[in-house]
Amino acid sequence: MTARVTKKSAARGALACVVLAAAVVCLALFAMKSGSIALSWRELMRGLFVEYDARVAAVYDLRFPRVLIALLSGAVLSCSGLLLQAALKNPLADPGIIGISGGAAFAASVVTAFFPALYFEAPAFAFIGGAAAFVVIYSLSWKGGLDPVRIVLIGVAISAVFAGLTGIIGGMSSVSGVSVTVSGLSQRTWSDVRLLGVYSAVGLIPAFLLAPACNLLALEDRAVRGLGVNADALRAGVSCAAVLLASSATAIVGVVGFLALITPHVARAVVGGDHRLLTPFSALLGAFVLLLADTVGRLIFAPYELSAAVVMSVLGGPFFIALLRKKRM
Amino acid sequence: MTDEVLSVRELAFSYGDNRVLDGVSFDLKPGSVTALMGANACGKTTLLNIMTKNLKPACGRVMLGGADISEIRLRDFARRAAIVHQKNAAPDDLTVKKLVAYGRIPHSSMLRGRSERDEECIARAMASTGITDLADKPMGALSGGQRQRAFIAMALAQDTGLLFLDEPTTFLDVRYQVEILRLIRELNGEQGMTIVMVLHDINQALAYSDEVIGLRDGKILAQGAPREVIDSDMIYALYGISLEVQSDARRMWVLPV
Repeated sequence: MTARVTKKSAARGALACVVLAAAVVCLALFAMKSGSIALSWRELMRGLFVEYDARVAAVYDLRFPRVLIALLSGAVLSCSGLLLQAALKNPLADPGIIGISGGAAFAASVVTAFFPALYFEAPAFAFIGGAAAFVVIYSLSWKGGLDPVRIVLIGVAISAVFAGLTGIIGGMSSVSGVSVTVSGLSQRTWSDVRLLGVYSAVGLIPAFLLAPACNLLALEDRAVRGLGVNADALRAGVSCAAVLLASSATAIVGVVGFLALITPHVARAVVGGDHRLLTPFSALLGAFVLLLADTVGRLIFAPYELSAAVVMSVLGGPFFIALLRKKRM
Repeated sequence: MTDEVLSVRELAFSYGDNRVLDGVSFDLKPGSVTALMGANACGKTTLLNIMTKNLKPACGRVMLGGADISEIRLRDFARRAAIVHQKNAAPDDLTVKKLVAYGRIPHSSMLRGRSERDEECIARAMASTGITDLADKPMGALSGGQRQRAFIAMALAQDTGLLFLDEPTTFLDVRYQVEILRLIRELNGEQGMTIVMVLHDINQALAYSDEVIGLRDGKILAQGAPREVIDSDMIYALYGISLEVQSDARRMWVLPV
């Protein structure tokens, strides 16, 4: 009888994914039709699928990429947080908080400021920056083990250093509009979508393949070794995927804090701790939340815009504090 | 699967300048229960870690079935020897059966589903540890004794001839301690597993093992059947305290007071 209960909970998790996917689609359609050029559903559908409409075409060129990038980078960041939390056994891990995004943003801003020709390779350089930051943070935090709070504290310091360095690069490069860290989601084009699409696929595929292995990381490392799995190699692989995901998102949309922290926690509360369900659910939830933050930020004080990162910070800070209090750290 | 011969040759290990193991050699008797005993920091846990590929010795080797274990791949080793650690973590919402099923990882690939043989091993492991009824309970809902049995079941599902246990009773109430030790004896009796355990409690070591290996300062002082090698003098040599050792026809014990 109880066997049915576990099957039921797996089915409930799968259903939650489907419902969330539907919600993502609805939100995306709403985001596409809302804004300074407001379209009705009818106009949107006609313009897209039936005949050419100048307003729909403008929206298609400007708003669609933005929506898609919000969805993609939300999914990517969220998965990155999920993987990091598993790899570091740390509920507070977030690529923004522990400094990976800072390293990635710095590397991306160097490329954008000094080697604009390498624009399409920016995520690759961001990955190098993010990975370097991760290695530094990891080795500085290691003291016979990884203390969750220690890694956050080191991360805060590393983030601050990278934010400063990025600021210096921003100050040195004459074109002010290109600074990656503040560009957020506005003025994104279809080429950004393609770029992020490629890099997020490279990161998301391992994230999904590693899901069963991530479950193992919840055991003690020695127990994992006892099962014939090299825990250190597994952790390195999972961390590498997490850094790649966080870096490619950061290269395109800049540092978005807290998203990667919050969504895995909410996902765990909804679908439980099994990464095979957690990974798709976290990806969908990240896509949903970042697009929601961007759309709210775009509409709430129209014609002024709040960046999604600002919205996430305002909402995410209190969540982070609540988490700290709950975990008694 | 019962004739896995494990032998330890001239092991040495140091943490910095601190020599923890110094020329340790012995052969495990296949099909027996061996207890590693000794005072804190005598090297017994280090020895266990070396025997289970969790530490590399500075000198010497551990041979399993004629091969140096450092030459045996982690995964192949996990098919031949299983380990139950003292401290174990598992997510609260993981079901007991899923945890026990992890024990099949050394035998399966991630891509293939569970085979009939896997299901058999999982069911048998849960039956011999008496947790079949708990199969769908989340780990977070178990008592300390049930938890420890679940981790032992995970090790049993690995279907190995050799089982290591690191202080399997330390965090348990006395009732669960005895339950676990009786279970270990049963596993040895019914399935002929060769079992090595680190035990803190002298009386448990004497009562539940065929062989004891007593360590002091990284050297073996006593090895053999408890009745033959343990007396008051040996207890003093191992633990640095004089304790009375008593025995009757069936058992022997020390008075730790």
